[in-house]
Parts: sequence; C-alpha cells; structure tokens
Amino acid sequence: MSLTETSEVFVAVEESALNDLITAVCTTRPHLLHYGSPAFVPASSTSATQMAPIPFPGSPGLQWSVELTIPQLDLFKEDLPLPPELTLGPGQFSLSTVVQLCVDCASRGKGDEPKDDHHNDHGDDHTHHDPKEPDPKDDRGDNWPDNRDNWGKARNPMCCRLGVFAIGHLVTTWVGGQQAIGFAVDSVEIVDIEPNGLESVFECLLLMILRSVLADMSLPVTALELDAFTLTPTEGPLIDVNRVLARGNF
Amino acid sequence: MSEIVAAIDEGAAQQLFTTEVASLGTQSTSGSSSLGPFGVSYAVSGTLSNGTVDLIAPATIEIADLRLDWHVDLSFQLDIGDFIPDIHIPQICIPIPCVGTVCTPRIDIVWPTVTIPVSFGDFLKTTVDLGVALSLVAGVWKVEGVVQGVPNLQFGAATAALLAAIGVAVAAAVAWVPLIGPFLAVLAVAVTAAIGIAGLTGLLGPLITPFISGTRFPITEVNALFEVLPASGPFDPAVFVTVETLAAEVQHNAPEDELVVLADIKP
Repeated sequence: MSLTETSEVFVAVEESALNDLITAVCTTRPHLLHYGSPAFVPASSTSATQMAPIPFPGSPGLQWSVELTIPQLDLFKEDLPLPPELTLGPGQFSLSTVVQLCVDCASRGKGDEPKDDHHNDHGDDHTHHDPKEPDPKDDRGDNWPDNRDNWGKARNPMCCRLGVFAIGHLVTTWVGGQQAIGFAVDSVEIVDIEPNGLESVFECLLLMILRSVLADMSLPVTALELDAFTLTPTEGPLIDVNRVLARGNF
Repeated sequence: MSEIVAAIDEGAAQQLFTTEVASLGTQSTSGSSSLGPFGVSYAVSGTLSNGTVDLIAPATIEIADLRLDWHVDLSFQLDIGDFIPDIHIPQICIPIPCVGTVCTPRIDIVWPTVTIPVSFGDFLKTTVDLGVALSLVAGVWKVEGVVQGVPNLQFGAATAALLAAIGVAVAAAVAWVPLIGPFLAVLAVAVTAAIGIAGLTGLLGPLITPFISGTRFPITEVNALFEVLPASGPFDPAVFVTVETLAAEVQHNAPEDELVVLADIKP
C-alpha cells in the first residue's frame, strides 16, 4: 500500500515527535501551563499568566494558582496505562499530566502550625511557608485585610498535586492563517479521590482547565512535516495507530 | 523508525521538478577553446525545461526528455592566407619595337586575417538520472537531486546547421576583402571542412554538457533549528525544535513509487 494512496502528499508524525513538539511549545512558553492570581503570579510573563483573584464577598479575592506539568500524549493504540475508567479508542489520544492547585490560605487559626509536607511522596495536600516569615496573622472573624504590598508572594500557599488522565481527540484549527491541529479533551479521570462527589467536582474542574489550556496549544500542519513539502490536507490530520497522519495535495 | 515521514508521489514529484527546473533559470558561461584548427572565444547559455520524472527505488530520480535550449556566440580569427595562397604576380616587362618596354604592374595580394562572429542556438533532449544527495550546510538540511555521471548529448542536425552557419558567417565576414570574390565559395568550404563535425562536437560537448552534468535540483530544505511557531507576542517567543537527522529516499510502495523524507527531532 502506498503512503500517499490517492493523494499527492503524505505526512506522518509518530507520537514521540508529537510529544517533542508539545514539549518544545511548553518549555518555550511555560505560561501556557501556569496560571495564577497576583499572589502567585505577580505579572504575566513567558513563565506564567496572571489572572484575577476569585472574587468572594468579604475578601479581597481568593488567591489561587494552577500549574500543569508538560502533558504526555499517547496516541491510539494504548501504550501508557490508563485508569480503568478510561478507554482509549481509535482516533483518540490519552493525556497524562500532574496538576498543582494552590490557594493562598490567608486566614489561619492562632497557634496552628503550618504543615510543611510539600515534599511528601504522595503528592497530597501540602503547604509552602517560609519559616523566616512571621507567623500569619490570626485574622479569623475579621474582614480579610487587603494589605498586600507584595502581590507576588502568597503568604500561606496550600497546594495539592493531582495526577490527571484524560481522553481526547484532535480538532482542526488555524494558527496565524495556517491550518493546525488542536487538542480537545473529552473526559478526565483523577485517581484515588474520595468521596466520589469530591472526585467529580475536581474532575469537572480539571476538565475545564485542560480544555482551556489546550485551546491555546496547537501545532501548525507545516510543523508536522517540517515544511519538507507543501501540504494542503484533504484527509486528516487524524490519529492513526501511534501516529498522526495527513494526506493532501501538493 | 523515523519520527516524521513526509512523502510525495510521482505526480507531486513532477510538479516539484518542473518548478525547480524553472527556478534554475538560464545558465551561462564564457571562455576560449578550440574549434577545429581555430582558437575560439565563446559565450554560451543554456536553459533547462520539461522532463518527465520517474522515481526508481531506492535512490534514483530519472528525468526523461529533459530539454536544454542552448545558444552559443563564437568568435574566431581566420587568416585567409591559411586557406588561399597569397598572390604575388611579378612585374613583367616586354620590349615592344617602336614602343619601347611595356611592363605590367606587380601584383601582391596578401590575404588579411578577419574576425568571424557566429551566433547559433538549438535545443537537445536527454535522459538523466538524479541521485538523492543530502547535506547539512550552515544549519540547513538540504535534499537535492544531483545529475549522475556525464550525459551523452546528441547534437544531431545541430552540428550540420552550425557548420552551415559558420560557412555563411565566413562569407559575410570576408566579403569586403578586395579580390576575394572568386575565392569566396572555396574559402567557406575550406573553413567548414577544416572544422568538421568532429571539431564542432569537440567544442559543443564540453561547453554544453556542464549545463546538465552535476546540476543540482533542490528537492527540499529544512532548517536544522526548525521554527514550529513564530513569535506572537511579548510572552510568546518563537518555538523551535532541532532536526537531529534527515534522510531522503525513493520507496516502492506498491502500486506507487514515492519520494520520502524521514526526520527525527528533539525539543
């Protein structure tokens, strides 16, 4: 069977190359994977994207951040094991990443010792607290003071890391006037969260986060074939077995 | 297995070749050489066109009926005396009674050396095999089809026509020479005979062949530091990957022959 079949041009990108391309994008533009309010992200930069605090009555806004590790894609057929809740079907990709969710816990009870389990092996809840800093003020019962003179520093960040698996499919999109492939997430699974209601909330939250993150991450078709030949796709790009392929006219 | 595979079929290869041949434009060169017994200066140009692509695994691109339109401007010095002896008629004096001595004038005809310009153009067709050549120069991977060997160019009727053109040029160039009239036809024939078919092919072959032999037809170029995404804002610098290896080959994937580029990248 010919590569081009009835077309003039054929392009195939193995999943390792696809991951190389995604890694290149994410390492050059890490802000695509890191979002946070001013306490965590003092200003938008190449490294991170600053977003507004979550408004909430009686507070200056809840400070938060979300940071993802570089997603690892596995194209059908399944090479990387998935939780039993997810099944990788033809034409789909799976995605695995670790999401770190942080909030700045501005109010702590007097006498509460901040936990420092940031480096625990289980990736569960943990805090960041600089022992050189004074203990957080116990402002329980008061309105939270909006006295941050240094918005680039969360005072009492509490974070958790969640291993996330997702299933998705490719979509056709456009970047700078060029046809490109995008990544659409269909479902998300987080392992080992209980109760189920909490798991569902987190999964929904992360599904929305992943969809948003991936909406800004696309690869031009020219990058898939290194611009070796000019390709106007008439078939694909689509997921074949462990690769993305496209056929088209020269 | 390579991470990235890009392939085109023969139809696309034909389009690619046609475009690349057109982009070569007209090539030209000049110099001096020999045309039979004459030293000759030349300016020659050639333009490639057409050609039918046939991909042959594992690494040959055959171009059949590749057409070369060529044009040559020649200029050589012709010493007419080399072909027609100088004429020296001594003075003859005859005593005539009652008249005295009557002398004929002395006649010396020394034929000059004249410059013969010849301008001629024709075309030829040939079949060449291109090998697939790969290079990494100044950070750019280049895949090219390079003409293999030295094609045997058949000038055919062009040589006879060029000889005739030389004969005409000789006649035109010496027409001003006094007393040449009776010798004109003889001179033209003598010069063309001295050059001969062998002299012409001996000149044209080395002049025309380089327009084909060794010619490199670009197939594709890929920057070793390949730009995946252009810069698009203060926080979005351009994204690059490194093309670690690149290869090109002709594959027979029944029922087609395809020109395939293979690459490996790293972030």
